[in-house]
Amino acid sequence: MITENIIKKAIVKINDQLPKSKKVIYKSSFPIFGKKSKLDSLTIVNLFVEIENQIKINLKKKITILNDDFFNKMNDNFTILDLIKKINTKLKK
Amino acid sequence: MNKIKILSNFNSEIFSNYLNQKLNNREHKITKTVFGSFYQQSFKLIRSKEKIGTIIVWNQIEKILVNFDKLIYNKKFNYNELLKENNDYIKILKQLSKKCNQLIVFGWQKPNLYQGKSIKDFTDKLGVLKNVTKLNLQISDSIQDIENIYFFPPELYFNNATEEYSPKLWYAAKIPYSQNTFKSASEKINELFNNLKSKKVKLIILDLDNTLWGGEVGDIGWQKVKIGGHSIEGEAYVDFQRIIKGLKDTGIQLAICSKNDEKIALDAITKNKNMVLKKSDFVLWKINWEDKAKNIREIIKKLNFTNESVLFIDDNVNERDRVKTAISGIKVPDWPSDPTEYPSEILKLNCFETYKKITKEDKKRLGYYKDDLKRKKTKSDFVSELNWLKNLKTNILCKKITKENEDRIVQLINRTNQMNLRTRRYNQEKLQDIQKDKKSFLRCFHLKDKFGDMGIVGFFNLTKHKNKLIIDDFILSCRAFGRGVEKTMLHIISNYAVQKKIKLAEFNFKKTDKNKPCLTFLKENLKELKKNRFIIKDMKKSFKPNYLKLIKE
Repeated sequence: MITENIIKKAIVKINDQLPKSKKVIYKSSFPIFGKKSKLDSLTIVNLFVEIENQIKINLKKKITILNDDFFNKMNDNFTILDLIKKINTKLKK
Repeated sequence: MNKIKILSNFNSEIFSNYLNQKLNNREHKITKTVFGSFYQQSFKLIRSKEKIGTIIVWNQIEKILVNFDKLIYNKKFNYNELLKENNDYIKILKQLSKKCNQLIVFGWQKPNLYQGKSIKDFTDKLGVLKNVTKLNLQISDSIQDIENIYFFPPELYFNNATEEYSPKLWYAAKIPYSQNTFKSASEKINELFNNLKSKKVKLIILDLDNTLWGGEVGDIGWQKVKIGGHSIEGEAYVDFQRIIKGLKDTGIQLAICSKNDEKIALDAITKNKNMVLKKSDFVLWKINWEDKAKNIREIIKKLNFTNESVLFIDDNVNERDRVKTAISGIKVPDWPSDPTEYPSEILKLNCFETYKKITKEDKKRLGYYKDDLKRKKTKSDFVSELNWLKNLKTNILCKKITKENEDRIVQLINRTNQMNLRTRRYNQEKLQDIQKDKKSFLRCFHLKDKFGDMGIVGFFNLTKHKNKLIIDDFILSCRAFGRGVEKTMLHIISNYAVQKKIKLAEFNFKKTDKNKPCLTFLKENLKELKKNRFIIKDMKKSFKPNYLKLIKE
C-alpha cells in the first residue's frame, strides 16, 4: 500500500506539467515500457526520478530504480504493477 | 497567434509543457529548438527573414561562458575574457531582440553543483555567486534601454532550486531545474503577457472619504480626518497616497469623484498638512452629491480617455457596483475594507505601465491635460472652429530625431493606436538603425500654443526608393488630432518629394481594430489608388493650414 501511494504521489506531481493526452494514469495494467506504452522517455525518466524522491521523503530510504541498465530494458513490457513489485523488492533489500 | 520560440542549452520540455498550460493555446504557439545548440539556433534566427512573436532565452552560465566553467573548476582563467564572453552573449541578445516583438531573457543562475567559496562566496573575487551577480548586472545594464527585452533575474522565479535539484534528472535528461522552478518561471511569463495585453490605466479616479483618508470629512472636519500621524490606519493612508503620487509621476492622471461638499473636501486636501496628494496633483474633480456614474462619464469625456483606460477606486461597494454597471469597460477593482491593505492592493492590480521608461512628456502630462481643459473651455466662445484654431496661435516645430527626443518617439511608436498608418511597433535600436539608413527621412513634430507646450506629438518616417517615397510610419498622438499637425506632416513630406524631384509619395494603410481615424484622414486628404493605398495627388499643393506657424529646425 505504501508503494502504491508513493507512485500515485509521483504521478500527480509529474502529471502537473504534462498535456492531457500524455498524462500517466494510475492503473496496475498501465504500460510504462514496451510496445503498448505511449510514454516518452523523458516522462519515464521524470516519473522514476520523482518516485525515488518520494521514497526518500516519505520512507527516509534511498533506492535506485533509474540507472543505465533500466534503459536497456525499455523494449520489454513493463506496467505499473511491475513497477510496484520492483520497488517492493528493492525496499526489502 | 503569437509564435514563441525557446532557445536553450538544456532540455526545455518540462518548461515548454508548463508554458503551454499557463498560456492561452489559441493565442500562443510554442516551439523549442534542439537543446545544446543555442549559438547555431540564434544565428539561424538572426539571419532569417522570419519575425518571431516572442523569443525566450534560457541558458546555464557554465555551458555558455567557457571561462565561467574554468572558474568553477578552479582552473586558470582570464577574468577579462569572461567579461568579454558575456559581452558577446549580450550582442547576440541584442540582435535577437530585433527579430521579435518580445525577447525574454532568463538571467544567469548559480550552477547547482558548485557552491563556490562557501561563506566567502560573495566577497571572494572568484566567488561563484559574486560573479553570477556581476555578469547578470552586466547584461541588465547593457539592455536597459531596449524596450522589448524583459530580463528575469533568478530571484524572480527560483524556488529552493538547489534543494530540489535532481542530479539524476540532469544526467538522464539534461534537465537542470526542478518542476517547481519551471512552473514558477512559466507563471512569470504568463504575468508578463497579461500585463502587455491588458489595456493600461491612464487615469485613476479616486473617492475621498475612507479611500484617500479615514473618516468622513463632512462630519469630522479636515483637522480630524485620519491621515498620517501616529495611527495604524493614518500611516496606511499616507503610504497609499504616496503610491498614487508615484503613479502620477509616471504620467498617469488623477481625478476625484466624491459625494461631498466641494469646499469642505478641498479644504482637507489643501489644509491638512499630512496629505501627500495636493490639489495640483489632480487634473479634474467632481465633488458634489450627484450620481457618481454620471460624474465619472463627464470626467472621461472631458479628458478624452477610453473607459478601458480608467481605474475607479472607492471603498463603498454600492458605488463601485453602480459605476461598474453603468460604465462598460471601466476598471473597478474590489477594494478591501481594511485601509492597511490599500497600499498592497493597488500594487497588485498589475494594470500600470510602471516598467516603461518615463519620458519628459510623461512628467509634463498633467500640465498638458490642464492646458487642454482650458483650451476646450474657450472653444465655445468662438463662432467657428477655424476662428478658435486661429486664436490658439499654434506653432509647430518640425524637428530631426536626436538622442534627446528618441525616447518620446519610441513611446509614440509603441503607444499610438488611432492615428497610426501601419502600427509598426519597434524599439530604440531599430529606430537608430532606420536613422542610419541613408534612404530614410524622419521628422518629429512639437506642438505649442498660447495655452502651453504639448511636447512632441507626431512622427513620420519614410524611405526613398528610385521613383517614389514610401511612408513607413505616420503617427500622431490623439491629444493633437484636428490641430493641423497631421496636415503639416503631409506638407513636409510633399516638400521633401519636390526637393528630391520625386513625383510619388505612397501611404500603404494597414488596418487594425483602432486606426480608423487615420484611414478617414487619408481618404479626406489623399488620392486612393486602390484599397488602402494612397498617394499625394499634387506635390505642389500646400497642406499646411494658414492658422499655424511652422518652424523648421
